[in-house]
Amino acid sequence: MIKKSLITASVLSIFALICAALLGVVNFFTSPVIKAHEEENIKKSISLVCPLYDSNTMDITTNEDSKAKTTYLVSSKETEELLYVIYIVDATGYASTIEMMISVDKDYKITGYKVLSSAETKGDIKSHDFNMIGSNNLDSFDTLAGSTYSSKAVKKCFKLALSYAKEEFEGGQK
Amino acid sequence: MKDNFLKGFFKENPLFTMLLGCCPALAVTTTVENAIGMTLAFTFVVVLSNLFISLININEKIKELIQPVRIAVYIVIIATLVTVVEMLMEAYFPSLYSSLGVFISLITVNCIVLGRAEAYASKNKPLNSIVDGLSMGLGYGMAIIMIAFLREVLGAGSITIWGSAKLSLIPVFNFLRIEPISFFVSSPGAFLVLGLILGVIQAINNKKVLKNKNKRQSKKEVK
Repeated sequence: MIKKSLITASVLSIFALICAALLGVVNFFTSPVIKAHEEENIKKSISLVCPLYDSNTMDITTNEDSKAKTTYLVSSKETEELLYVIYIVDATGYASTIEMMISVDKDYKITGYKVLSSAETKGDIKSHDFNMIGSNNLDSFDTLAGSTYSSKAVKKCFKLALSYAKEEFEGGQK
Repeated sequence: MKDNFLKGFFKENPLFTMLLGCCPALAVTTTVENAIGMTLAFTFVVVLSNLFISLININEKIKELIQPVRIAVYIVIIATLVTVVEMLMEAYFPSLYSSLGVFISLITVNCIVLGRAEAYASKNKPLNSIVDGLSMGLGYGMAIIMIAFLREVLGAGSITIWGSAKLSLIPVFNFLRIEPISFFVSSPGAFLVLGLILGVIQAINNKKVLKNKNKRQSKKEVK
């Protein structure tokens, strides 16, 4: 009985190993292409929230130690000075989790933002202007009428991004 | 061989006659491009899974060894092939990959693939199994492309074949003074289109049965 079970387990393991080897080979060829696509997409998204981003003069690195979901650091290629920090943050809205990309410059001001994903049922939060560009003051935040919970979540995202940026730029100039 | 190839299109069409694989058929058929992508991914998986499973079962000793865990072995093979398709699609067709989303991974648990593996490939020769896989994959593809065509034309007024190869039918709609009905692109629209197609197929089948019945009756009367 035990012998039979061992044989069965071995057969299944052999198949699993062969399949894993095949996946490894395919992954070897496809992963560089997938990584290049991801980098291209990141650059595209960053140029949306950071209008002055220039791939010729600026470098993008990620900060793995950050509290945010993802943090991109944009620095000058020449002087290595940190120019922008871009965060992907999220907060719970009315019917879904709202994920946003928010860029903060070295003067601790928001340069741009984009709602990356949201399945909110009320209001068009993806295209609403929350009046936060060029500012770091949450009092100027413009709530979307009829979408109080969604707006609160967006505001929380801005608050998170600004607090992380404050730490990143060692205090900033609030 | 010819009958084996043609059966998946009409007589044993997985979607229209057996109603298998309904979930992706309704979810990804918003554009013809998505349906073509799904057809290619599905056909690749079903053909290769049929081939490998048939090759395994050719040897009596291996067949006996895997007998107690054959479903697990089949699932491992199918899941590997689906992951290969997923990786290739993510690398070379990223936009299609993002629009098909989770439905590529769900091919693993598609009852057509496992059904053909257990019912056909495990009992037949590799060449016949490849033909069966092609027949089922392309037959299923024909069905979902048909649904996608109707949904996209009626719901969006366009036909997206691949990437920028998009044909807009808005001038025709304007000429007819009607507008595309976006309901057809939504999920309930998919059910309605599938129901209408099944209704038409049933009507044709009923007509055929009635015709044959009348023929037999008239022959009896002549006798």
